[in-house]
Amino acid sequence: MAKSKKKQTPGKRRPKKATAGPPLDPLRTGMPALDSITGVEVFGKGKRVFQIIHTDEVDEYEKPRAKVRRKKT
Amino acid sequence: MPKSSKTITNPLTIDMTMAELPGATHRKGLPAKDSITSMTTSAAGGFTILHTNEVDGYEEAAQGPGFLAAAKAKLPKGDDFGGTARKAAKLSISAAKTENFKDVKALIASLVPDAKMIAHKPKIGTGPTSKRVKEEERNIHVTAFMYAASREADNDFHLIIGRDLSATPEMYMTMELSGLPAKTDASFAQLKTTRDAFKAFFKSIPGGKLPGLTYDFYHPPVPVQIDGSLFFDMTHATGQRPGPPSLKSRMPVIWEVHPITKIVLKKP
Repeated sequence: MAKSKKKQTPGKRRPKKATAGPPLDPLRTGMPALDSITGVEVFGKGKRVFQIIHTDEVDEYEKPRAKVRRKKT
Repeated sequence: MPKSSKTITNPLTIDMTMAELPGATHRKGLPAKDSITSMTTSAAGGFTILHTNEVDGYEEAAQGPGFLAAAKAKLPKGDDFGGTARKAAKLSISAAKTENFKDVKALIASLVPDAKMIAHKPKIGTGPTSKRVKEEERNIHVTAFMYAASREADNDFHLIIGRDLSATPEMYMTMELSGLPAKTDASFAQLKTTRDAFKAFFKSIPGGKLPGLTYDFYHPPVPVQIDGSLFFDMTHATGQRPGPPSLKSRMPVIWEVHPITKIVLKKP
């Protein structure tokens, strides 16, 4: 028997993901280093748009991860 | 070392001394506390050197605690340039007229955006024969402050140059005293004079010590006048960018002044 699909009521809809946010200001106080940013996620709508800046930064005492070895100048 | 200077290595004493240093509480441009390994205070020199374990992320020493000692042992002796990446550009001095900047912010604002340089046509090579491209044919003079410095594996001194402490936003740029080319090279004499002037400054100060592989930070920042040619660090256009981890987030470009062709440092 085919499963019946549940319809979301308008009031319970998840907020739509915003397609674009304001440009990142890398010099804003509290921003991570540019080369640590792995991705930016934008969510919210209207005036309440937030950006999550994903980085590869971890606390120094965490188990070290393998680093990419780059050729030195 | 003259008696007017003192080197502290005990972490508790470092903490206490930092707390008592005038103007050092929450000052811009200081390293993370846990990166400070020792400090040298120089009453006569007028500033304090904070020695850290910070290195550029692409250096061998950044790969883990065990790598630092090995990388230090490999540091070149003498003053010869030890690198290969864009060697022709790094060791040449542009013939362009000098442009004057009173602030690092204005200098940074005058640069072609990094993204455009990365997409440059023809592509900027990273091999030893890669010469200056048109956008790099500029000479500048800037009045600024030296916040930190290190000596890298290729024998270049990396100076982290920023704005007056009262200026906002905070921003820094790398400016490099190049390792020396062959004596027969056209730029040898000028680059040697410049490198010697940097060394002489530290020698003239009780407790003054040239930076090593790990970054030294200066408190207060050292007033400096720098002349040099502009250079785009294409080698580090992807992956780890240059700069000490504590300041890297406020280094908006990978442009450099490279080589520095004249430097005048003043006691703070």
